[in-house]
Amino acid sequence: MGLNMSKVTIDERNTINIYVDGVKLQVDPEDNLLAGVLSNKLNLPYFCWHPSMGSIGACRQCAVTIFDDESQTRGRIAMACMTPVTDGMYIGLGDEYSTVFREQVISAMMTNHPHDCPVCAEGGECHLQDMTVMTGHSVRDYKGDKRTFENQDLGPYIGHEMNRCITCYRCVRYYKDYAGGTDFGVFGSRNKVCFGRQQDGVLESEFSGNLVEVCPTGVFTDKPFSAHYARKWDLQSAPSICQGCSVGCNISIGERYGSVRRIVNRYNDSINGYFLCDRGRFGFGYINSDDRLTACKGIKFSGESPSVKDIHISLAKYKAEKFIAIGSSRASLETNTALKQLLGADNFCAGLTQTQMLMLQLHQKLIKQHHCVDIDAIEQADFVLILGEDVTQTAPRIALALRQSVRNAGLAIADRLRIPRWQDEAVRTAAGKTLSPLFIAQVSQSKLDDVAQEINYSNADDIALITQAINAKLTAPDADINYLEPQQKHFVASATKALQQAQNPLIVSGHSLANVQILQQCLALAENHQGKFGFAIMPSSVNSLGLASLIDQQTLSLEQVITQLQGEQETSLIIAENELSNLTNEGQQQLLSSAATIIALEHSQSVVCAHADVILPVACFAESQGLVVNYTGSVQCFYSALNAKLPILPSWRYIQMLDGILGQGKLADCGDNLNDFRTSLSQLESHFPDTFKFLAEQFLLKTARQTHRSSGRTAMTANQSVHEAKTTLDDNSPFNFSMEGGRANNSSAMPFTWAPGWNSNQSISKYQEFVGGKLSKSPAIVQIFDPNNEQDLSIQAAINSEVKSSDDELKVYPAKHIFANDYLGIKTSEFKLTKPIPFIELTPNDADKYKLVQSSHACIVIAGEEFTVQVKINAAHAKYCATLFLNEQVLRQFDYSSIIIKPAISEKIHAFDKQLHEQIEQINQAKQQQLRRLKQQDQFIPIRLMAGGLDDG
Amino acid sequence: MPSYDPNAMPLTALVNLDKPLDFQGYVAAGGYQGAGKAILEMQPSDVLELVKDSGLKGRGGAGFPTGMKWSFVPMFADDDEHKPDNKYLVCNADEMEPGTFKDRFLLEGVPHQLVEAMIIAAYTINANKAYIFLRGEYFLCAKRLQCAIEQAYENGWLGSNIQGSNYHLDLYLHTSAGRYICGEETALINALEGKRANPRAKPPFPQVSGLFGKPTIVNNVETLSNLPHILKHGAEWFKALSPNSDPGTKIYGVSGRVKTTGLWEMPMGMTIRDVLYGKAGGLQDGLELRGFLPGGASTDFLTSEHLDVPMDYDNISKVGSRLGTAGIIVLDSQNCPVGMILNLLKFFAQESCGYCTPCRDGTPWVVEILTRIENGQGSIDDIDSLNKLCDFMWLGKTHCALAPGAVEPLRSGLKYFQDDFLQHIEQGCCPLKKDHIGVGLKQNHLTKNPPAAVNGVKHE
Repeated sequence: MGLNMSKVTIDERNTINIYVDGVKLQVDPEDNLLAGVLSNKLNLPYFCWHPSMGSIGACRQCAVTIFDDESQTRGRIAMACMTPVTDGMYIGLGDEYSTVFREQVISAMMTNHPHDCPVCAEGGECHLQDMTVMTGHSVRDYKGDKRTFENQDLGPYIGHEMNRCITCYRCVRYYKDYAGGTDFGVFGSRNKVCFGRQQDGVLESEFSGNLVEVCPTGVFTDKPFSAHYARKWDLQSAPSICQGCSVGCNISIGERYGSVRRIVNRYNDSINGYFLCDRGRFGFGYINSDDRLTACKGIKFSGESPSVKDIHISLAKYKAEKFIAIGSSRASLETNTALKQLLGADNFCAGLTQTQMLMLQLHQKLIKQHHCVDIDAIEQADFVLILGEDVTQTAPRIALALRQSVRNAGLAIADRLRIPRWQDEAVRTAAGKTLSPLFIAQVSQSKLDDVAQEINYSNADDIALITQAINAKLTAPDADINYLEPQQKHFVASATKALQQAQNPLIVSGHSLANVQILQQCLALAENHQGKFGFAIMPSSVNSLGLASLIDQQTLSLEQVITQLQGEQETSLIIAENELSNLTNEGQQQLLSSAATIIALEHSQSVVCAHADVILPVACFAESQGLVVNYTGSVQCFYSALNAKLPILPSWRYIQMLDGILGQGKLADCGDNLNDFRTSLSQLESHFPDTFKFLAEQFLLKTARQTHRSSGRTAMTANQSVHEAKTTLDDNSPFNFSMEGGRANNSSAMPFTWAPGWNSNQSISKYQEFVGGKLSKSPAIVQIFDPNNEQDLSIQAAINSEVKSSDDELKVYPAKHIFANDYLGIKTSEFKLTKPIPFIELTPNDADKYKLVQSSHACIVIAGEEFTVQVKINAAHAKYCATLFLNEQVLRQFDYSSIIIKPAISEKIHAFDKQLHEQIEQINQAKQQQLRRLKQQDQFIPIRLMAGGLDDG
Repeated sequence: MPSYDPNAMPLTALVNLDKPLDFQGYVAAGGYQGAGKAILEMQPSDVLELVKDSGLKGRGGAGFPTGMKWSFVPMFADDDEHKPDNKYLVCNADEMEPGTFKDRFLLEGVPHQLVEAMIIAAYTINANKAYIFLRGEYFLCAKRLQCAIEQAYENGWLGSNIQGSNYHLDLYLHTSAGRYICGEETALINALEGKRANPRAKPPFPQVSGLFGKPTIVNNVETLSNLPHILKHGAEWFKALSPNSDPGTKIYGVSGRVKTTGLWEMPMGMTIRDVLYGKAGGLQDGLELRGFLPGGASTDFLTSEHLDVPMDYDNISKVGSRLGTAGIIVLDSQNCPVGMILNLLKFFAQESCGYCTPCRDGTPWVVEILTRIENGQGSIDDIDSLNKLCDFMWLGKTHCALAPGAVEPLRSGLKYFQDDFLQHIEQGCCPLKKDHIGVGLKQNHLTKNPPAAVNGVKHE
């Protein structure tokens, strides 16, 4: 991870010996001295160096003494981060010369650093605090005034407190150089250097949240976290998996007093490295939202939650009905599997349309038979072809990795000049503007355009044609591709040429255009050129591929369910964690109104809940445990950071209860232990045993979710009782809801990152095989799709080599936006404020056809519904196409074939503007209200936390 | 020892500050013969050997042998696939060292000499683009240089196929936005690229990866200005200009309260006395020499005991200072050394680029302490702090040479003018300002040796 170096395990590394304070250490000859020393788990303070961003030698904190030989007593000071390791070198770490200097560096930084640790959001996990203590600096000599800055408003996500800055330059190097942001910089000089935007405003990068973790002190802070703040040592945390998209970034959720406070990155070298996107970091608003379902509907029970018996009594009346179970790509593998088993495979609907199911099967085939790669491999690609998927918006972390991959051609130049890869500034200088080829075929502009070699704007069908043409040209250089337009031909020719020279070419695509042909052509490309390409195909949701693994010949599509519902036999539905956003308004109505009875298992309000006869409130991912399968087919487990307040239970528990009365009885007798439940499931679903083996191994010794110095156990409840509360038991996970327990058995499942002397996230290097490498003691990633098992592949449609050419009718594609892709994410107030304003984007020619002018408004009518949107006219857009963003698109699909586009009348525009202002007001009020409610809640500790869990009588 | 002509002044012979020679005048005076010889009669490698032989050292302050610097530029065969699109020559004309004004003298007085020199240097390293990075405030220089460049283009000395040699060179004048740090060659390169003027880490050196990541040579105006003469007269002639091992002439400057301030081109290795008393006429009447900075603000103080040291790179180094730019700044008996050092350090703190910690936070810290001492509010502990800060900002500990340069007058000042520092502290004011400022012992009494802590509460 980082610096685009190929991933190796510690055993594969070449090593040489160096002597640190006389002790022989083994280091990688390609490392700098700092990385070598840290990889040996020694303490050497640093600021400006970052394993993913390399060295610049600015802070001078990692100074060591270099001796010519063993006998020399007075060496010279050198910055470890800027010094290549050489065989047999002697360095001093604990010697007085370098020790004194390192303390001087801190004391110089401290001349201006405010003494505001008590009110600083970084306090307790501040790298600057840690390093200050590590150097031994404790007495202030400086007698002058401190310099001060004015802070900026950087939007709702990032707080700014420039006075705390120690000028390590990490933020600007991350934001501009690493993440490609353009609205952030470094200003001023001497000891008045400041970092921020040219003027106040929301940071534009989709990865701005990483500033919080990249900054070694409290200049950039997590604003939503600060608004409802807790110290790191007071947080109860759990290792989890981001549910925002299909990448499955590893995250750590921090909770206190029953509300989720923040999400931070959890290092995983092959999935997300050190960085998250802002959807993942900030998009958990729905968990604490007023939209949460907290009570049962249609179930009578006494006590805190319904028992199996209660469910039996309340649901007995539905017993005779025929039920169909609808699963969801955002529900866990366990939930979906249980649903399938509950009513049998022939009564199971994956909650997907026919098209979506087909795309997932194609995707599955691609993974099984070809090479689908993780970000580590993406970063090493020397050619990238993006086919239709705007990954910055749909799978942002992949876009960040692609931005690193285009550096490879430049890195090769630096390699030739023998500039080590870690010497960041020199490498970037030598590379200049040299970029590896990135070709993008897309409908509308994307954030990666600035590093692309060639971009072609085409509609989805044409993108499939382009793919087909590239395939043809690779196979036979004289292949006829005259069915393409001149620009498309040019694109195909230059992409093919670049491709032929590439060693590690990568194809990136996805499901967001809902175009089966693109995936079919990707598969054809893979089959025609076995082993040549890596693929990164992005499905829509966190567990799309987990769901795909359950799809078989009998699995129903949503269309089939509607048909069945409208048939003669009265049918009822069990819908789990699915808001039916894959259906149009009409489809939703057909489905929901035709069902005799609807039992909804859901955690947040949705259209399904509005129609449901029975609602069983289930835990969201922060409160439960489950498996999800990411875009490469890797199975990952998320764990609960907190227990939900009863009657909220994990989905699988409710499904298990339902099984006794409505189901086939296969699930009922496996107890309430998740592992037993999983074992039962694994006996029912053939591909499960391997999937669960790695989970069982973690149960040997329990790990604390709270920090060892948590003030929770001893003080958190003291306002109510001085007696120590009994902790909630957790038999289902390797973690305790307390501060008692050992270290995580494997470093890839740590609730939070901490090491003695290292309170910040930088402590992760203590758990890596070497800095920036794999986590030590981390189990191999489990793949859900067994490449050797051909049988369970049931591609329904043969690969269609003849791509249908598109006609000239206007095609409409929904715009993707990082903050507005799913109905859960958009429940976050900050996302509501920073998502796009409804718009339609199209080329000047197409705009003329509809008499639309730039920056005016359009009236869109779809199936009788009318919307006012802003008009964006952009020549950089596919012709005969429009990209449309509607607020409602997270809730349902639209049938764009019936679209009518016309200029909006002025009354509508006024209403639109007025509504926009009102909405912002409402959002801000709701945000404040929710915050007040949560702070109120903090005063009364949830009973569950005191009572000791489910079995506490 | 070869005989030398103490009056030889090749660099400044053609200087005319009122009306510099235009192209025709310069050619008539023997100009462009050196460049012509190089590009028409010699291979780049021959020129390189000649310059190496001449022993020319960089006149920007560091004194690095010019030929050796050039020899690190990689030369590529025409069919080499890794041959860079370009190599660059950059002239460092960002003259901002306090007390130094020699480059301005050459640029205003004989601009064609630099143009000619740059043709020679660019040809030697096979660069087809060259830049003059000029201090922004040198308006007249900019005007005259631009004029010379245009004349050179008009007369076939710049552009394509120079004088039918098949060699082409484009020369651009870039006027700086003005920072002292731009005089550091890698900061200069960054500034030229449009980046922040922060020095780069070395290695890689500019010869390998310089301007826009391409092989680049940065030379000072005075260094380059020697080239036409070396080409014209040869290496032996150049060596013979000087009485000792550092060859050539040097333009020496003197500022401060001397009888005649100014610049003089003299053979390398004249004694300080030759310059200070022989040319500048010694101090003004009634003043005594307390000390001087021999080569600009970022060199160590020397005192009257060093007057007979030859002004060349080696000999000045031996007595603990540097030849630097050879712009001597004189401290007289009516000026306070503490005040002078404070003034210098304010300059360096102001001009720090803010990149590395010792310089960014160390120089203002020194200023804070010196200000208190100068105002009579210092304590004896401050001397200790200053010494520690000198150590903190010393060579090897900082990202570039700015902070170590800033330390040089300070640490030598603490050595040679220790009594002055102590007097400030003991008397509670600057001894030279005693009569003028109402700073008394009383005020000092409160701040002198403050207790480390009162009731366990540490002072800030």
